[in-house]
Amino acid sequence: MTRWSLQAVEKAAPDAASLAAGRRLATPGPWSEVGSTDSLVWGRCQGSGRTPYQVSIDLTGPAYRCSCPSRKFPCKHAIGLLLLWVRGDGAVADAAEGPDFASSWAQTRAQRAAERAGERATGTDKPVDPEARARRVEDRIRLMDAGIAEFALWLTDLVRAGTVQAKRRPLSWWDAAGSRLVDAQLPGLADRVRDLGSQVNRRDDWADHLLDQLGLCWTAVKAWERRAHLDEVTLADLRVFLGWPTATDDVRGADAVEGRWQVLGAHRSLDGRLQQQRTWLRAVDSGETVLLLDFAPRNGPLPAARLVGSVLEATVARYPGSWPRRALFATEPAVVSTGAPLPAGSTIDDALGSSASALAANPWTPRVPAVLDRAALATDEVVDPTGTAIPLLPVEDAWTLAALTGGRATTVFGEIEEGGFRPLTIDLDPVGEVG
Amino acid sequence: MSGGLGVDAWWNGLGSAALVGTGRREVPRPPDPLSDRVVARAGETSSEVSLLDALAVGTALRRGGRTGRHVPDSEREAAAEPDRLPLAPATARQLLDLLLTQSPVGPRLTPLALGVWLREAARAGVRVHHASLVPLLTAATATPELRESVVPVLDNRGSWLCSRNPAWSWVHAVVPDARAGDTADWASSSTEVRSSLLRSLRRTDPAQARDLLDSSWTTDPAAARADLLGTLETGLSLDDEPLLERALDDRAAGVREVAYGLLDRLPGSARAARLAGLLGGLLSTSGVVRKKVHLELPREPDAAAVRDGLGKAPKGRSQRGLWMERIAAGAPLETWTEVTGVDPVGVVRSLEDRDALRGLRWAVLVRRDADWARALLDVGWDAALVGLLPPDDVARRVLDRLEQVTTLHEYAATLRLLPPPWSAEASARVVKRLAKLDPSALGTADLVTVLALSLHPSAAPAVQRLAATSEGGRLTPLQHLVQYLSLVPTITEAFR
Repeated sequence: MTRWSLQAVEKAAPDAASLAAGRRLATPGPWSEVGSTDSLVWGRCQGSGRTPYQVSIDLTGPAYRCSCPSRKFPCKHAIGLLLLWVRGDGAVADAAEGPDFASSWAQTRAQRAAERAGERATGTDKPVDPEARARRVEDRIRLMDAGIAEFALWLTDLVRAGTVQAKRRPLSWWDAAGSRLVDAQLPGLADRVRDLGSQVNRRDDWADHLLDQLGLCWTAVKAWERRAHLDEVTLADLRVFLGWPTATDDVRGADAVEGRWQVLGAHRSLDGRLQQQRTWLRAVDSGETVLLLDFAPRNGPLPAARLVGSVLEATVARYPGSWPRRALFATEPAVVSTGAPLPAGSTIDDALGSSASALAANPWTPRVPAVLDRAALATDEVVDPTGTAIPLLPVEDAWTLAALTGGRATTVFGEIEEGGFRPLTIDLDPVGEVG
Repeated sequence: MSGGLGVDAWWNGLGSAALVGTGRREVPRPPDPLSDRVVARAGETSSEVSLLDALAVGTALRRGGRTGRHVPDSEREAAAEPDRLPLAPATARQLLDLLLTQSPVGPRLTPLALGVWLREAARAGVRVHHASLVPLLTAATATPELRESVVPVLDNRGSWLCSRNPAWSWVHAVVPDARAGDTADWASSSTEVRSSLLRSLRRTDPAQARDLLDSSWTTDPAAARADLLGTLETGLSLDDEPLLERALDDRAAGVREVAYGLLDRLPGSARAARLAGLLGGLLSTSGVVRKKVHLELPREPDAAAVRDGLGKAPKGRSQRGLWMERIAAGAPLETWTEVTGVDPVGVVRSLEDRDALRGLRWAVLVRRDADWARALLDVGWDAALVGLLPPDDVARRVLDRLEQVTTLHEYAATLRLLPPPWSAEASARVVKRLAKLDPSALGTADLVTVLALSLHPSAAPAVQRLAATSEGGRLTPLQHLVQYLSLVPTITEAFR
């Protein structure tokens, strides 16, 4: 396994405080018995206690273990050790195999993973009872039916009384509607309604935003009523909007493509209590772009972000639905190369066009990926060579992007969302620094 | 969309209906091409449902129909000009990244190490890499001491970047520009603005600054006169004497005090000569081989002497003591030696009057007289006076003094007087003394900063031994110091 980038370690940290604490530990001083193999990094860290903490990191997971009592995960010791390791200055030497405390843990983990994979493959341990499953689906649909009907009433009541009155409602009113949707197994709608409650109080354009959301929700209500007539793809899109998940095991078996995938870019966001990591992959052969989604609780660890520009060899299974499709790795990906440049892109008009086609197929599409050619990142918009501009959506490293591009045109990858553009990756070649 | 409403107008109409509710306003009809699809069912459904139907279609149209805005060429933002300086060498760039993201020397010493890096970069005439601009500017925003040395390594890209972020506007303020303030606005400016204008003007054109001050002297209130008169300290010369003489007659005591303090700095002034006359009358000697100097207490002052500062003493202060101090502070130092024929060492040794000594010390300080400073230091340690001696002398006296201090606090205060950079020998003595003073109490990381700035690299092993004896697995300030001492040569090396 290649050494991680500094960025990857930073993204593995659960929060800024842990990262800062990790940085303080990223000096050889407190460490002993450190080393690394292809898949393991380990060491002992002298903390405030008498015995040093044993830290092991399984890079394939990645998974972390440390004997310290911290509830942060990974803890500062693991972060510190990773920081020391990525520096690559020999402080963490390469070794053929790890010490007992690290290898035995990794072995147990690998064994368990293999067992789980075996279960999936043979299905022996958990025989699927098709009848029971059908019964469960029926129950769920009954609940959802009732929930949707009640939600339709709630929507009509809202527009009858007027949106001004809705804006005056306390957050608890929106929350109550959200809770009823959760009970009806419609978590997607529930999150949307709760979020709407805070958005109408926060946004200047709350009236338009509320109308848009009402329109989208009503579309879903109407689509659910006509679900018997929908094709499978649209039905899948609707399920995502309502929050009826597709089991990963079902995805894994179904629509898998083996091949090489380039990591175009990634974005992390915090939505309420949940962190989300979006990673966009592009099939080197077909050019299709798919989306990997990872979730973690607010303070939990997200899997380390895949290095942007790397090409992975993997079997990628796609969820049902229309473009851009969500996907997952059906096999553990292997890094084939790194530093691939972004593929050729389009103008902003073309990108908006493909966003429109995506919306035509799936009116709930939240965002689509886009590579823009020779685009310049201005202060608050992105401008292409034809002079067309759309607003930039806020990103954490906006200033770094500005520093790297200097306002010059370059290939940029990002997401088109609500008519704006969120830059995620820039191609540095045309503006690169001659080192 | 001929004839009918456009989508936008329709959507706005839907918005108005939705705001007050369908109970009170009718749902507008959609524009023509849509009307047969959306309205077909309208007759059979309630107005709430037709509004929601319309919103569903409307939002799909709006979301799918988004377009960009056209930016005319004239509105295009200018991109950064190409950089002019060559890029810093790769090793140096790695070191900078290390300092910015995971500094091995602790938060106190990191700005110092960055300072070393930046100075070396400026000396080598190179710029930083673009990826380091944001963390570097962020660091310098938090640590203003770094700002001046950050500016030369930013190059065009960095300065372009700063022009876009108000948080980094200090970059353009640091760049020395001739905007010393506007003399035209003198009459309408506040005292603070005038005072900073005068201070900077005194450095380049003291006469113009004085003329400005003079121009409003008769109309300014007393507090402003006192403040502004104080700015004459910069670039003070005998040319300022007429104005200062006038200030001696000022109604306000505060203004007169400022004038005494400034005239004390001018031993060639008429007031100094007048006070020399008074002092001469008080001095006498006895003995032949080893003359002893005697000093009488001043007599009741005449009107001229009162004008020169021999006024009424504040409550609790001896009247004659104040006069004595004022005379000693204002008279030329030569008066003491010329009248008595005794050298400074002899004068100081025989002086017992505390007020006279206080005045004399003040005169020595403001006139920066090394001979007299040495004479005063012979009778007692005085940190302020040490600074008046030539560097070698300072080093000798400070190192001797270090042997006598008993607390870490005194040690730190004394160490600050040792002119950097310290020689290998001086550094060794400094560390040796520290070892005897319980360095584990070195929580005052401030001292570590002083050590880091000035210690000779050859002292690193000694500090290392000291750091090793201090307890705990945590990185102590001393261990950070060890890291720092080994890092600095690496930085210098990286630019070779």
